[in-house]
Amino acid sequence: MQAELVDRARRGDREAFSVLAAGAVDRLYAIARLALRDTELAEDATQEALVRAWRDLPTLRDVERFDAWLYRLIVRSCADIGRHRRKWRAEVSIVRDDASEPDGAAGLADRDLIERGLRRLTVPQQTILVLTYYLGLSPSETADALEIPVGTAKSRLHYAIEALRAALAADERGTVGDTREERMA
Amino acid sequence: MNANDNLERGIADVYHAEAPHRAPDWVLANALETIESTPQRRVLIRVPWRFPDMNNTFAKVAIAAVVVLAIGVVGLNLLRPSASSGVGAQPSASPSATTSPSPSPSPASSASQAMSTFTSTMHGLSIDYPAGWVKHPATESATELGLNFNSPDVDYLYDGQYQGDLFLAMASQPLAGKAPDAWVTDFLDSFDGGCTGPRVSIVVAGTNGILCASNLFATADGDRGYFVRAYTGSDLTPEEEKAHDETWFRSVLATLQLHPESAVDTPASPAAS
Repeated sequence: MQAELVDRARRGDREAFSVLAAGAVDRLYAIARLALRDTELAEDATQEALVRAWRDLPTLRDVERFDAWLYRLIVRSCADIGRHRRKWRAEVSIVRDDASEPDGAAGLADRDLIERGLRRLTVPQQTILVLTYYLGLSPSETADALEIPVGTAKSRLHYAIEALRAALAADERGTVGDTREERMA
Repeated sequence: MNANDNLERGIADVYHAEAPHRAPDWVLANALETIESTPQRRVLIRVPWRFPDMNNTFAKVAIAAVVVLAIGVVGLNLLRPSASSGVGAQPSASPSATTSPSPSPSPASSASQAMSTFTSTMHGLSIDYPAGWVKHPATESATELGLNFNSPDVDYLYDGQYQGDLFLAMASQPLAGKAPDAWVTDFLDSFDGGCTGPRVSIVVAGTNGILCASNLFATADGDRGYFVRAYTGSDLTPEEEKAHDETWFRSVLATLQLHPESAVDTPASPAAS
């Protein structure tokens, strides 16, 4: 069914493409929102990916690979938008957010900590984590979406997790420091 | 269950809790509206992924027919000059199957591309770039090597049509006590979250540098570290992308000259940390 729609859309059928786009837009938006961590940028990235999908669809050779191909497009859009807006030096020089008040529930506190840590990663780091832990793609599928070799994808995932771990550690040290200062006051 | 598993599960939990379930309706509406006036890219020659509509026998017969036809055409062209004008005949200018290829963009075409030379007074280097591209020299020294399109501490040479989707960017900074190799490695490791592509040692401008991911070059000369980046965005046509591939980038790098003694290091602005 989808393959038939893709084939029709590939040959210029806008109605068929509308059906495909309607089926994919929520998923693409979720990926962009998590990777860019910004609602407006995610909206832009999603629109851009859909327009590119329409424009470049005739170049898709295997209609069965439509979903994987869409992942490539949303990843590219996120990368382009992220590249234009970010200062990549921010990857290392991290401005610590104000720590939110602990809510008492350990699970929620951990989630909050991870969420803050994720904010400190670069868009490429965020993207590989989203593909792996949100979409649940395999290393080879992730590599395909990122258009890089599998070995590179594995290593990039490793470094993304290490960067997150470092951000968490820095955050924890900051929180401990604040607590000490508060005690001193 | 170890700490890794816990962290990975935590990441997945955060994503599933945070992920929006629906995109705003206008996102799809806007995209579809844009698509109404957007033509699809034309594929002039589609190389089949497979032959879904052809059985093997038919495909083999079709290929054999093409080969026979090609041999026939070439054979006729080889025979024609001697038959018509005898020994010592001048090469014929008549068209033949082997001398009338359709124009196809290739890296080779970039070899004949007209080039201009850019000299960076800020970063102490000179390099050739395609004539007609726009120059955007750095106005500040690179205390931190950022790479935003149009950031003031990087020299940019860009295609006027594609702008942020097709450019060369370059800058240098003092090694600040680092060994040259260490600076190069640190730079590549920190660039854009870490350059994870293959790294190849190449000699450019008499220095031993590293080419990473086919489009990022870093080296050191004297007391300075240098980088040159070739960027091609996804808005380029496949032909343009191919014309600005690694071969092209290497040909540009071959023109790079480093003058660390003439680089300028302005003091960091008060706002910089």
